[in-house]
Amino acid sequence: MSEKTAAAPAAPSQFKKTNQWFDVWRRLKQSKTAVIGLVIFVLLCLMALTAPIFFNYEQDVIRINVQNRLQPPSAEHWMGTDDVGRDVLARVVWGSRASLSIAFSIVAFSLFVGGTIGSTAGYFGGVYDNVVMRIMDIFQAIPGILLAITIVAALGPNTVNLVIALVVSSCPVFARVVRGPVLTIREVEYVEAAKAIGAKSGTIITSHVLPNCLAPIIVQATLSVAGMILSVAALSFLGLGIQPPAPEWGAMLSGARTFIRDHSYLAFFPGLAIMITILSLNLLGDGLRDALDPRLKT
Amino acid sequence: MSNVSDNRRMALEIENLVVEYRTHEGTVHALNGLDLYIEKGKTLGLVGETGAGKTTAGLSVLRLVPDPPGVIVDGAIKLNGETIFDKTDKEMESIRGKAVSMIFQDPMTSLNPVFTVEDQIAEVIERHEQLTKEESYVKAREMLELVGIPGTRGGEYPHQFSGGMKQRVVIAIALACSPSVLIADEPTTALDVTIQAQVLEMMKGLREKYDTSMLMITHDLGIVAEICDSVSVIYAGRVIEHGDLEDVFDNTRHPYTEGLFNSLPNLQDRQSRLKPIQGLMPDPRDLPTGCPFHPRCDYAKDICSKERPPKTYRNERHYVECHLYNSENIVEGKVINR
Amino acid sequence: MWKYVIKRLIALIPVVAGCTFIVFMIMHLSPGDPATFALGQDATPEAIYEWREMHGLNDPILIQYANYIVGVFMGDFGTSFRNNVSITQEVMQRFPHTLQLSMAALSVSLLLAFPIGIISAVKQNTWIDGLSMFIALIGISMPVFWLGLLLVLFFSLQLGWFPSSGANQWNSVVLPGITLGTGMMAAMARTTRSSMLEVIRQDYIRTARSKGLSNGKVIRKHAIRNALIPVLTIFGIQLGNLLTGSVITETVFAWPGIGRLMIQGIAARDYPMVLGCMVMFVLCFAVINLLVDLAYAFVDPRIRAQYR
Repeated sequence: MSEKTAAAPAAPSQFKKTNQWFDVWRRLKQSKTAVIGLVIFVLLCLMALTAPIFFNYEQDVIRINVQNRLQPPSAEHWMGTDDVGRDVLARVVWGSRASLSIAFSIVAFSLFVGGTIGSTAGYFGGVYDNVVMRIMDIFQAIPGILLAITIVAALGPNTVNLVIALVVSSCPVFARVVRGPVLTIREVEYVEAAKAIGAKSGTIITSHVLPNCLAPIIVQATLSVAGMILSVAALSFLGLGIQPPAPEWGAMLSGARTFIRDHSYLAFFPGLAIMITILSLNLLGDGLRDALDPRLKT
Repeated sequence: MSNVSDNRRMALEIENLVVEYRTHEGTVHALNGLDLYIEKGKTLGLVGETGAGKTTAGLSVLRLVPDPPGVIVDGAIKLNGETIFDKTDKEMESIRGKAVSMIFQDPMTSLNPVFTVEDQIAEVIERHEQLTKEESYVKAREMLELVGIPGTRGGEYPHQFSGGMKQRVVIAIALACSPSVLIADEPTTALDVTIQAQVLEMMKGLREKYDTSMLMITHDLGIVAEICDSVSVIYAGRVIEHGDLEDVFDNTRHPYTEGLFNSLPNLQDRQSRLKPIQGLMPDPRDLPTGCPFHPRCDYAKDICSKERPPKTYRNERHYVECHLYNSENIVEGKVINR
Repeated sequence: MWKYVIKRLIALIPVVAGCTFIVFMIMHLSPGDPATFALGQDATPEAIYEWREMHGLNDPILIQYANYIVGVFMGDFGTSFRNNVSITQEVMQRFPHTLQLSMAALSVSLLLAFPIGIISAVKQNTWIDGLSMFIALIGISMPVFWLGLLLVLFFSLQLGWFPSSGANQWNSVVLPGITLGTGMMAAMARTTRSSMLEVIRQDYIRTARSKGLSNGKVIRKHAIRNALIPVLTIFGIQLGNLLTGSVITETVFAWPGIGRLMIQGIAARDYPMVLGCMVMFVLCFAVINLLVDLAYAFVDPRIRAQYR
């Protein structure tokens, strides 16, 4: 085995930088499952973006229409109607807007906060690193969603508090993911060289260190979007997230529980939407991990 | 070939072995008609660069070429006169470690980190010999003593041993059931020079003690000179020059073999310049036509890129595969300026 | 080894104290006065003062925390805001249920994950592998609460095989156990597979084959134990998810465990109760992680050597 890999001619190193992302894309395209994941996810994003074209928020999504309540799926209401007569399809489609936008903002915030903590800790090291990472350890000793549940329970259930809670609980993970590579990379010659010519720490971190530890960050971020969609739905299911009548998949499932015996379609479609979204992101995340680090490929 | 016909004298015969690795990136032609012969009790050096197919040749004898992606396309291997490709998987298992065993290149990774070294030696003894568990552990400790490690250290784990000691353990495993053929795949490459000499010396002693035939896979001509009776030089999955040690070393015929010798630093004459072989091994997914060495060869002619050269014999055993030679000029040589 | 265990147990104290501090402070961020909430808007200032005094809320916050944490290490989690019962008692009464549920989930996941992962790896790229990994992918993508609802719908409401809620019957634990265990099973099966594939390529596996061992023996004896090491890491992470999942599963199935107690506490704004449940979860998580670390030593002699 080792002989054939060793025998492959080494790629000329001066072209490595420009080809890197092209290579990642090429390898990603080769994985059928990753492409399926990507396609589904892009479609979901399109659905979220175009939802207002198909369904009016006031008219179709939150307006109560008791005459229409609890109708099974039909040509008019593809996914049926809920206990106050709202069209489930409209709510599932609009639910993607809530889930995706909130999940993306949480990941963006956590990436920023956790990334800053992790990269500075890894870069400066010493006492600062020690103190910061011990604090992160303690945060990580509390299982993620439980911490979020506590925060929402204390602050009161609404969307802003939900975002705060999930950002706080996922920061330590990002801090750790960023810190690891920063620790190894800061010892590398080109960073030493940048220090030697007197570059500022901030410049070194953003222009030399971070770009070289992007791979694990991207993978973690992709998988975290999936995790966050799940967490948002879970908290909403527990009544601690997005509040009704706003359409959210987890909250819709929670509402459907009362009617599950006779109106099971109410519990079916929102759950399916969550699962498809998570599935696509997991497929994409797996594909990205393999594409970014071919050595890990199994 | 007159000397091959007498099967009883041969410990190992490989004829026209073709092995490919079929991967997504293309088919790797690892071995392309390899011929190897080892007489009983003798040691053959298989010399070549990284990627020439040496390890694949060794693994083929144990039928351990990873499959997938490895496929044995053609050829025959006879071990003590028996064709191993006819064996069932079960029969093959009783051959491995008993009739033929292999020492792997990297002692750091060849031992299982979660078992003690005596566990790992006793395992092969238990597998092949009619001994109780206790007896095999006693024998395992004897094997450790034999390779120069105190038997009391048998209960330790591989991570507690140095590289040289790990390789001794690997050798103890390989020799535990006194195999008739031993394949040593660069057994000293991963070791320090002083440890290399110790391990080689030890292997020479053990080879005599057990009357083992040996295939010494290496890229180090010094080791070949030290330990081998005959030499096969392998390039792109084919033997391009073969002969007794003196023939190949003193009457070198193939330009590639010449290049290997010229790449050695000369300790006597420190002013002399190294003459490395130009270029790199060809990509085994896309081998050159004709003689695979022609793109790097200083003496290449038109025919070299068109036809694969036939074997030309200098004497009963010494042959080359090179268009520079025919039955007239092979004896005299003088074609290449070594 | 024992020295190491004791060292680790002592190291748990600051972690638990730190976690408790974080949760304690978060709980006190909550707007509004719990006394007013407990006694109603019409309560007299004297009654409110007295109630606050009873729950130790008139002290400075750090003193409150100090009192609380000392109590925790003495086994006293305080008293409920709602009905003044001992939280320790309440939590201990609920804990066996959560333990039972977790054990059921663990058995589901471990009994299935290892065989699935190992067979998939050994039969890499066959239909068995494809099917197993597809199921595992669905398993990690399935929200716990949806899986729970679907199982109730099918096995309880349609087929009537298992009860849909409560913990009163002998087979009550089946559906919640499967619900909670599936995600972990899927994640572990995936890790077991990739870890096995990694190990199978190692040189020492080739060495084992070269000794003449049969394929099955090589896998059973040499590969699995090495493959277990990364699986343990994921196991530790998944146990955290298991605790989280138990909160949701207990809610779906009205399972009388700590998770449900906590959610009920949140609904009633019974903060000492929520805090008590959280501390219990944190303790469990910490102890489990310690056990996982000890399991590493059991599997891997290199790690065992570091533990001396």
